[in-house]
Amino acid sequence: MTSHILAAFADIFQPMSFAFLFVGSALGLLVGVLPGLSSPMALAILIPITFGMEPFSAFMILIGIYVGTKTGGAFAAILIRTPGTPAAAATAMEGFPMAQRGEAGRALAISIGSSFLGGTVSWMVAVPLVGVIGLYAVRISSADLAMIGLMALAAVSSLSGRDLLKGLMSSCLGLILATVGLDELTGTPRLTLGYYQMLGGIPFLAAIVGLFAIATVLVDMSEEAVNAKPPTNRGRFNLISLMRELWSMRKQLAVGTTIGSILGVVPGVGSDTAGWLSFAYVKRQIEKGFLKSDRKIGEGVPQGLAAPEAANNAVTGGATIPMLTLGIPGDGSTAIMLGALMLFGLQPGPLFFHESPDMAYGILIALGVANLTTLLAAVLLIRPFTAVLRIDRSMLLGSVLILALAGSFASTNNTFEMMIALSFGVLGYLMHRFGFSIPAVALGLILGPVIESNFRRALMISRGDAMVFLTSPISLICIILLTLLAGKLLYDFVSKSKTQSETQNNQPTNK
Amino acid sequence: MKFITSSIAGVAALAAAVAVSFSGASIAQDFPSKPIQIINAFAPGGATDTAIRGLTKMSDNFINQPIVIDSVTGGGGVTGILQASRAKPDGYTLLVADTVMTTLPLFQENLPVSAEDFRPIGVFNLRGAWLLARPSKGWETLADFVAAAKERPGELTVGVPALSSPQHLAVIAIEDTFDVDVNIIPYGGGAPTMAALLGDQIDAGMPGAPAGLDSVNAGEAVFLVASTELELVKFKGDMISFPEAGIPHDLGIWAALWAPKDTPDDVMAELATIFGGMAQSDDWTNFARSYGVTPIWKPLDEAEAYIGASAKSMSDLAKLIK
Repeated sequence: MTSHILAAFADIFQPMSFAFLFVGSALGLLVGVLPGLSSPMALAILIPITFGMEPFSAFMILIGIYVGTKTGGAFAAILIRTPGTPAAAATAMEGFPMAQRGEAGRALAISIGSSFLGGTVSWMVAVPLVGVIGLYAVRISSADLAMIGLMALAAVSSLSGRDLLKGLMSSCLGLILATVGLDELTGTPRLTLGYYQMLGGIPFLAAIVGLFAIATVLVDMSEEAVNAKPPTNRGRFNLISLMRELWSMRKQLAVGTTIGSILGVVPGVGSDTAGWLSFAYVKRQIEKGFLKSDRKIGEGVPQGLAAPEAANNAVTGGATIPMLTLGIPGDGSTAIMLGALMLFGLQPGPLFFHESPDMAYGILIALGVANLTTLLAAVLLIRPFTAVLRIDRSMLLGSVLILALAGSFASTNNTFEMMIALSFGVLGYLMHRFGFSIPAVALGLILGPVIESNFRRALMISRGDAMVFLTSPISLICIILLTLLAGKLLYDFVSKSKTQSETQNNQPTNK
Repeated sequence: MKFITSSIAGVAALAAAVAVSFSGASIAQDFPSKPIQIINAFAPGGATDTAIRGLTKMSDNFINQPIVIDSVTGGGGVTGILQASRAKPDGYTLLVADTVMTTLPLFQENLPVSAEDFRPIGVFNLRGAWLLARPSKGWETLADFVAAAKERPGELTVGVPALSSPQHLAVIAIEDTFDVDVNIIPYGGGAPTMAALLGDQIDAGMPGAPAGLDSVNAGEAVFLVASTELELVKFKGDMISFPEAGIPHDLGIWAALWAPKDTPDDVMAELATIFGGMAQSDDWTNFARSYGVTPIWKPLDEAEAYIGASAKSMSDLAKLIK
């Protein structure tokens, strides 16, 4: 194995291979920046172009794109508060306020650095475990998946939004919206309003673009935003101070990387969820005073930016390895890469590492090196991208709207998706006005199908016996955590309303 | 001067237009004069997507125009099929779709589009659904599986990619033939079905080829039966198909190229020649074999008859679903 790995490193650091990986990363960054354009889309477009190439070189480009998009999403999130990819939605929470403070460059540097560290560290842990990661991934049962999804949803919705009730209401709205479409287990259409376009469910990418990009444009056009500070960039990029800063956030980075690495292996619960969970962790740390910060969450806390960025890059290893070792893709992008491998006459699966070691180890190692090429490409792009900040705000908002609509159209080549994006934009704007949590809706939409179909599938397998959720260790741990969380929230809620009613009662007597 | 050049250009364009309209009869000889778009209604990376990309990979050897594969997903596949049906019937916008064209109307009412809105150019590959189990189960043949199913009625779990898919119908065919009852679990795709099988979460799985091919070759899964003939597929060990196992159904998952129904006959014939060339090329047959599907070529009327027979056998089986 070691000799294969060394050979793979030697192959990748050939000037041409490295150049292809770099080009892929740069392309991935651009795709990531544009809201609505996603890595599966870019990969599908590029596959025919790579036919004429050597399989190895072709895969350098594809892997570069896959890793690059994870980092690129943060650029738009920080500079225009519009996440370029769903996975970067959590990045905007602290990244944009930092840019408003004049620290756009610093925020970008932190996000790039965190992405690099998250991706690289999780990859370094994954490589020696390559033989077993796939085996653990397939052991996660339907019951486990349902409870992991529920746990992630509860953790995020309990922390996002200003008050708990509204957070929970938002999650429930997301879950209800997630039931739209064909019921996976019976084939019955649900809540499609007679639109055949909704048979496959609410178009997810379009809904996310609406909730995050279009809603942001609407908010920025409203009165409250006119007086808000525009994002700017002051100060110079300094590698040493960046490294010092990342070192000071090592704990948050480690947690983000861990969350991302683990969730990468869990099918259907990818980088979007990992980003929000890591953000929720930092938020809780600050609110509880475990993490000293001179700023409140939502006002541009660098740690709240670093953790989700580390997390969404850390998922790449976990999602790709089962594709290589078992032929089972972990997300949309890896599914396309699997198809591309087969087009080159390769057969990923248990024999892949024995039969085509050059290619198998090449991809495995490229996955790590791509973090480096993405870092290089991103550093070169910081300056040109911060130029966006000098564009007049009204022009920028118009462009974002056009990009968002074009992106949602391109996601499936349908105008219906544009309607969905606009509708969700209005929904997102209204939710923002009335203090509901947009992330909780988005996460409900993402996790709803995971939770529902796996919950019901688990019961189908056990033929209606609910004990299945208690007999599997992962599911059991999630249930215990969920119970503790619910108890804690209930306690906080009751004691808070008690103090509130007491202060209200005391007020008349004081007067 | 500018006026003169532009009017010369105008005259030239007019002449060209006249020439084109007079040469209408020889349209097929000029075909194709622009890129051909093939709409795939399902997510890129899936078996049909990979097959059509494999088929058209060497298209340069057959036509001078590029072939563009466009994924128009959403609406459970309906969106892309509908879009293709509404395209101009000139042979430049085609559809690639598999058995879903005949199974979709079996389970969904009031769909805005159906196979009636298309003419098949040709069926170009055939995949089996295959029944796989883990070696730890100790089953070596289909008979072992049937015996176990008889022993524990309704208890054996069999994963399928989706309800009402040919894979699901294949399990129904096994149940019906051997009078057994198994617990069918839909997994929402071939990949999760394989994952559940390899993770020992189900007793058996019935994914569509080529999912699981490598696992069987590696001894991680045992091959019990395939829903159709599997000649030409590179496979270690013996293969047994439904007809050989005494199951009176031949349930192939075929993939076909389609054109909107008003496409003229001469264009259809030309398309069949072009894609027939690709489908019978060594590049494609070698690729298909190693990929795990059977390369076939049934053009036009032959395709229509083949698809009709397949639709009939699937709708008969669908009636048996409880």
